[in-house]
Amino acid sequence: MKAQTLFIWLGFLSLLAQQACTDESFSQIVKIEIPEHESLPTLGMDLRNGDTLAQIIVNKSLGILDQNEFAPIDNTKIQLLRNGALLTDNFLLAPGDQFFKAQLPAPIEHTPGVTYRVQVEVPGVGTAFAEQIMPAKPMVSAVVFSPDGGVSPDGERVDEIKVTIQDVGGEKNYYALDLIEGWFEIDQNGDTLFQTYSSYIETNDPVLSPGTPYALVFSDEAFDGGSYTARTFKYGNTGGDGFALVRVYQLTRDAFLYARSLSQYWNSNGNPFAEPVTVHGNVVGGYGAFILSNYLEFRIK
Amino acid sequence: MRKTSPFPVLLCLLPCLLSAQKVTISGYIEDAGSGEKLISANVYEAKTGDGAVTNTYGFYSLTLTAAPDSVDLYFSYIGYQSQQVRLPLNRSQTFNIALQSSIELGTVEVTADRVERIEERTQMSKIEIPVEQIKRIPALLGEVDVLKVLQLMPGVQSGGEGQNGLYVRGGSPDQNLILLDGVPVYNVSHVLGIFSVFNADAIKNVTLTKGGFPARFGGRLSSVLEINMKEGNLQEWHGEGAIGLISSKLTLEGPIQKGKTSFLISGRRTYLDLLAAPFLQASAAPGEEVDLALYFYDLNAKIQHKFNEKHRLFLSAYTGADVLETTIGDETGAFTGGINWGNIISAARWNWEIGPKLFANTTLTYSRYNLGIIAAQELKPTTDPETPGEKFSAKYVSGIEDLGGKIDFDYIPNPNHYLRFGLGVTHHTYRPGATSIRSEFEQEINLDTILGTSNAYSTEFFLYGEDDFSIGPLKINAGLHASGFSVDGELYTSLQPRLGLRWLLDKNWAFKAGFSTMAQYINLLSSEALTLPTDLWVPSTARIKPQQSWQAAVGVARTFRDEYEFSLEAYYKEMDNVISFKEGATFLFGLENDWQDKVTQGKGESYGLEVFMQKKVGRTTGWIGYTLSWNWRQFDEINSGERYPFRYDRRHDISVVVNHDFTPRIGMSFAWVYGTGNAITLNTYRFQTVDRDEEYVYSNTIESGGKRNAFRMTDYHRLDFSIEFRKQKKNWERKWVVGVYNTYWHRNPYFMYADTRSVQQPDGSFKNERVFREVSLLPLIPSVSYQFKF
Repeated sequence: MKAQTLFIWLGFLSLLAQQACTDESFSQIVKIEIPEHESLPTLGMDLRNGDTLAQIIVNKSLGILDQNEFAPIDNTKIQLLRNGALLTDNFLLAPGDQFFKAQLPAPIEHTPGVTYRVQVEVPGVGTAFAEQIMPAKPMVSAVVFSPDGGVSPDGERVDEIKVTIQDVGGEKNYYALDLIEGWFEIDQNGDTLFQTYSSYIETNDPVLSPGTPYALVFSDEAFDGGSYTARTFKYGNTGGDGFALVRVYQLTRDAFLYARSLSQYWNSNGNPFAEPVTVHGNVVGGYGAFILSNYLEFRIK
Repeated sequence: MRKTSPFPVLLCLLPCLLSAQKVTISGYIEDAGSGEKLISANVYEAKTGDGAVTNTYGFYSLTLTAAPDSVDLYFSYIGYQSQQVRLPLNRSQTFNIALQSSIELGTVEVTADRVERIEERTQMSKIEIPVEQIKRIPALLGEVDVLKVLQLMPGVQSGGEGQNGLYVRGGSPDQNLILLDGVPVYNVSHVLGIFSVFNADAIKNVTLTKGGFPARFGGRLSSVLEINMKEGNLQEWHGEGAIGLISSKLTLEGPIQKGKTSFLISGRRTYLDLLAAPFLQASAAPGEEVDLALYFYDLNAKIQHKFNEKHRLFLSAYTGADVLETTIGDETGAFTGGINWGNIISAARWNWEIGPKLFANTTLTYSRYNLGIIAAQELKPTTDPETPGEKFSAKYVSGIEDLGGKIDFDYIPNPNHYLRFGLGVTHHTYRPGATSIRSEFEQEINLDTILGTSNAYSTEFFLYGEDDFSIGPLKINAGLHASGFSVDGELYTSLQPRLGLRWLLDKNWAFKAGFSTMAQYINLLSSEALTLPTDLWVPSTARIKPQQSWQAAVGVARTFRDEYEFSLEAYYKEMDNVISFKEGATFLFGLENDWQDKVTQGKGESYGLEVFMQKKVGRTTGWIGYTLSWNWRQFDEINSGERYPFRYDRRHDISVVVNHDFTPRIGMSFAWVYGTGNAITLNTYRFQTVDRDEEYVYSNTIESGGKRNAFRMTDYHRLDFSIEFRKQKKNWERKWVVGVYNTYWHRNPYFMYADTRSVQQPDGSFKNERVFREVSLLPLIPSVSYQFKF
């Protein structure tokens, strides 16, 4: 073959290769026939013992390609009931806020077995509700904090927090752990102000898994009716110059499933190779979740 | 006690009794130029039509009725000049023969006077591709890839764009038993699945069985891919090699002792790191040293030794790895980070011709796959130069190691029976992921520890027997495969009946049917969408039951005009205990928890129709394949327990491959593939829900509603093209190969996601618009390579 022919070939192919390497060469917008979505009411509420304020987001669902943004809908009606009796329907929406808020007549109690029900009516969309029964307080026999008592997977010395739970046998129980750190300061009026925030804790224990909005969640599947010590660790100086609390929750089943699936959802979000996740919901007639928990706090520093 | 009828015993002895009046001609058929044994070569006697086919080791045995006259035997093999030999039929004898390759005879056309036709074979669902044809097919970046060629066959699908995983009749890649010289290969990929570890220059033959499994095969549900390395030329020295855009390779073979001992050595290495090194160093900061290792390599070696006509020994080895490692250093210290993975495989094989009718092959095998991820930092002392400074290193290691042995017997009592039986055992060692940490700090505590899951062990064993026998126009292969698996005190066993039959309808048409049950005791934890070196092989356990399947297939086959092979097959397959990750699981970097918690087991079902028309001889060769298939999965914990399409459920799959020689010096090839788009899960709606940190609440926008794999990505299609310019020099031959992958530049989707883009409105403002966007990997890619042979 003549050398010129080869060079013509190579030149042609180089040109094509150069053309191939533009941004749009690696992606394209495609039209997929998605079934038309019928909007339903959506709600999200996380209620815990001790809460004096009920905060709920109520809206309507949108189709995946719907160009509209979420916005609270005027004249939305919300009711929170306790054992069938109205606790409050005085939910207000502050300007610019997405959450409807209602001051409760009394803090949410520890009392197990109490049924809480939230029901919403969204104009032009419909009604929906969700119910939760307050779980018992967790039975915690020990909380041990060991500064530099653990080793992280990458070999660093870390603070270890161990929580021992006594589980009630014969029933499914669900738990969660949180670490709350904070500090207090005296304001100009001489009042003590507490500033708190949730901290990130991790674990090597396969029984525990991440769960949003808590730090870690677990069920009693591995230790039904027995005692179990959950081991967790935290990077950095726990509590800093302030204080640290361990919060131990007993969750409803819905709260456990919602927390675990929400965490999985965020972990896999944007990763095209992860398995798809369906976030757990418990709203009848709509989407979203109402979750309930009963917790105890233990000061470790 | 029950009285036993003597009939079955007599039936078994019948072939032996009859053989008293028979003589047996046995031996090897080999390539005249190299001494390589020819697999599936044909020998037949013209008068009676009785014939035999060589086994995997080139051995044949043909028993005929004794006669005072001589008999004419015809020896043939595709691509070789046939030979007619007259032999006396008054005694049994050994007769070895060497056939001359048509190519060496100087002819361009691939010819075969008389080879075993597709309608004559009992086994269905089997694909054999000559290596020379594999090397002709256009390849990505000019890197000839055996696995990508197999993806062009009906019933075999590719995964993502550019990936070399094989999805055979609805199975996943871990359900393929891939054997290199009889040794399982656990990782067949380089560069995240874009290239395979098999160097075509070192390969002798490739056979894929996707159904109707004979009893000698077991251990995987979906297919058996047998790849045998060349044995090395016993007669004279030869070599071949190639210089390509990303890699070069060289193969040498020749006699150590002519006619008795030979060797083969073949190596391939990429050199992206060597090309990139000057640029990296130029872009480094002053005083900074950058060292990059970014390559993969393969090294194949084989030695054969012929002790005498009855005993031969083969030693083969393969090692290959991918290395991606960077070291950045300056006056304060150095950091090293990287990942490497690779296989080591070796086999010792002893062929023993025990008698003219009995042949034994004993194999000892070793296979290891290792992955290592390393991060290391070394800091020079900052205060006192006498102090040792600080060192830290963490290394994650995972893999699998097999040690096994097996013995296979071929017993050919007469032309109507071909018995095979044997047994084997393999000891598996699994390293499901452990991290070793070493640290030496100036002031802090020092560590030297190992974290993570400890090794797991299991033993797998099997026993089989099968007979390929004829009754008039009916030819049957019946057998039984028994296997067992011992792990953690648990013992799983399985009895797997196998049946294949062929009914000659007339001279050219054959009806074929096959039934097989299979069991699989080891599993690959891998993303459905991507092959990664971090994928882990794990055993069945007390919790994770062995995968099982049964498959039935029926079909017809015939040869047209002595040139075109045609087959039509329909199949149905059910799989139990197949594995999938639970929702949200991702295994990008190892396992932080018990892997058993992250997987779930369920059912699979696949069925379809495959049409295949192949032309193996002439100046124009190639094939057309079409597959119509359905492929389902059902898991209690996925998709609310509802059945859903497998990600690689592909309704239509078409491939057209054509090789044509215009002249002895110029040839061209093209391959066109089309496949229905991969199934994908897309969410259909979004809503807001709650997140909370103390008294503060936040909204989360969640996308949901997607039924598993309910939507399809854009259909896949692609045309690859290459042209060869060959020149025969005095003592060697050279070839330029210019190719184009994805010639018309179709953007084949790799994955899809919902995106928000900003669109300019008529008034000049911008508005967000939600769309689905597909991302593709491989646009048009040209290649050129220079190949030589001497």
